[in-house]
Amino acid sequence: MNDMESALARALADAASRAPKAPTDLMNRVDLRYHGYRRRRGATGVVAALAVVAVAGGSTVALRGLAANPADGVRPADGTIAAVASGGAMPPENRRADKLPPPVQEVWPRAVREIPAKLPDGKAFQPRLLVDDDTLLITTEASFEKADRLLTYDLATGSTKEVARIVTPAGAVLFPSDFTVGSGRIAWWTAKKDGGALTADIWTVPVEGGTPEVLGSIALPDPDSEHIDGLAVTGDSVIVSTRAAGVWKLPFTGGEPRRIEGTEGYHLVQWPWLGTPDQYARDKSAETAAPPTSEARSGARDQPKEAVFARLRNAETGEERETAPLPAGGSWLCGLTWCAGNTADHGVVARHHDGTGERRLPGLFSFNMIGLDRFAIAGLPAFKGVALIDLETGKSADLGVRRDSDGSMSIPTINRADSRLLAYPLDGKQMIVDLSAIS
Amino acid sequence: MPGCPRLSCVEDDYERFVGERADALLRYGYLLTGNPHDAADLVQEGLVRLRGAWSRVRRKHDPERYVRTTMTRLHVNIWRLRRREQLSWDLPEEPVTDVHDDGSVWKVLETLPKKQRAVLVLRYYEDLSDAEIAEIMGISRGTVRSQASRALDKLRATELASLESTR
Repeated sequence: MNDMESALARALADAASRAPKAPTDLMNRVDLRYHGYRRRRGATGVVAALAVVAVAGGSTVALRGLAANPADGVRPADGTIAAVASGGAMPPENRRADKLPPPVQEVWPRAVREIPAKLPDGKAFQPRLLVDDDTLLITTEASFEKADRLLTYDLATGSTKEVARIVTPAGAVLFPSDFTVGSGRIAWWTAKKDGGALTADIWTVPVEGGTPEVLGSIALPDPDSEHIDGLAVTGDSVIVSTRAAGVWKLPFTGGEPRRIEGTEGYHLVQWPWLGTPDQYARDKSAETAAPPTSEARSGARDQPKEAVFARLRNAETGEERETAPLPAGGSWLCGLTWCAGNTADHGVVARHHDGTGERRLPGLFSFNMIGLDRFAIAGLPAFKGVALIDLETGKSADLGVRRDSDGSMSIPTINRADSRLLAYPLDGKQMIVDLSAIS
Repeated sequence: MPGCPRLSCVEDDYERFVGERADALLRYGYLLTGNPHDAADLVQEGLVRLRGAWSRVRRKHDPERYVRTTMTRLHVNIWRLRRREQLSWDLPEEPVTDVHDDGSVWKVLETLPKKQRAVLVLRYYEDLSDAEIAEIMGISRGTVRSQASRALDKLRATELASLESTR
């Protein structure tokens, strides 16, 4: 080794000694990512294309990292890595990896219904939303994620009634999504590619039945990064939220869709409230803002990452709401009242926009949406299950989901802030949780 | 392990591996990426992939090499493409210490292309032979050598320049 090479080896060894330590809840994080990865791969196929890593051959080399540091990472071998943590504000019992909250049926009996996973004719279906206390809107599928019929399902009797046949236009790249109800109408969208651009068609049909019609179309210039990320039906129009082109209004009376003024960068949270930034914009700005030198980067990290939807605006009144400064090092998502996130001390932490009313719960907060302004999903410690948590009361309930025999787990999600329905399959049944029945 | 159901034994093994090797993997990720965030991300992704392949990799008795190979190739080839797909769980950030010295070698490493840097880390930190590096990175030995020599040239040039400027 020449001098240059020796200096390099020293510099590397020196830097290695200052490398970060493994987080105490690493196993939880890996679990969450593993399950999320499987779920997304199953749902969209997007991630599958990236799984290209080959296995190395069976060579046996003593890596220096191994030999030089025999005492590394000594941890109990019973898998309770999370329990070794010290510091942090979580009470010790919350760190215990083996304690599950009571089942959701016990915690909120009035809110939970179990229905068969298939219709009497043997067809599978997707619960989409609750039209009222006893009526579920469902779709059946012609093929994977391609809805062909829209039906109402009577939760009391199990009977169904067809609302509409759904047509997926030729050339559609995104099948019917985001079924939404309001003002006696059901709305959804499909998307097709026109040349290089993506066009989203917004469909509506009366709740009592009829033939779906396209209310209007929105051209989305960048098909790779564009997407419809929210839909709401108001008294006189359908509101359409896009990932990068603002929020649009499509009146029932027809006419050109128009973008609501000043909504660039904003997204639908819960109509009439819009929020910014979304997760994409936040992560992007965090990446571009990261200064190039390590020293400056370390300074930047002391700055908290902005919460998703840290800034809210009421599209009808113009009222604005801004989240109080958040603690550094955390990662947060806000609804209208609550902001929730994970902090380094192994728990879900939630507080009001103004910083008051802080609450801590065990688990890892799922970055879906905060449902009805108070409900969230959290992975339970050691990923033994998934909890529905009520930020308002601090109660949490085990949704009953467990790993399959291959270790995978489907995680129920709250995809919309304004939907009262949380639905997920469990043990051959379909679980229907009416969030609005939880008081 | 007699008397323990097969699946949970496999999982225990996996968790033990993670518990024992996580810090070493993080050090490797840190040297590879130069920053603690990417290091943590890379280690987690490597462990996720390992988990999917655990029963297969375990039979070959070298899970650590599997993870390092995964991390190296992800980092060099396709890293950052994946980030957008990781949105549904936004994981907590750890308070970490970053490098504050102005070690010129470390700084120059930051300016190297990912592939060159990875070759240097494998050669001068992990002490691997060019053949082993070639295998991990999925490139030829000739490429390992040329990447290493280009990287060393750059280090040398920068070092000379800094000597000149302090003279």
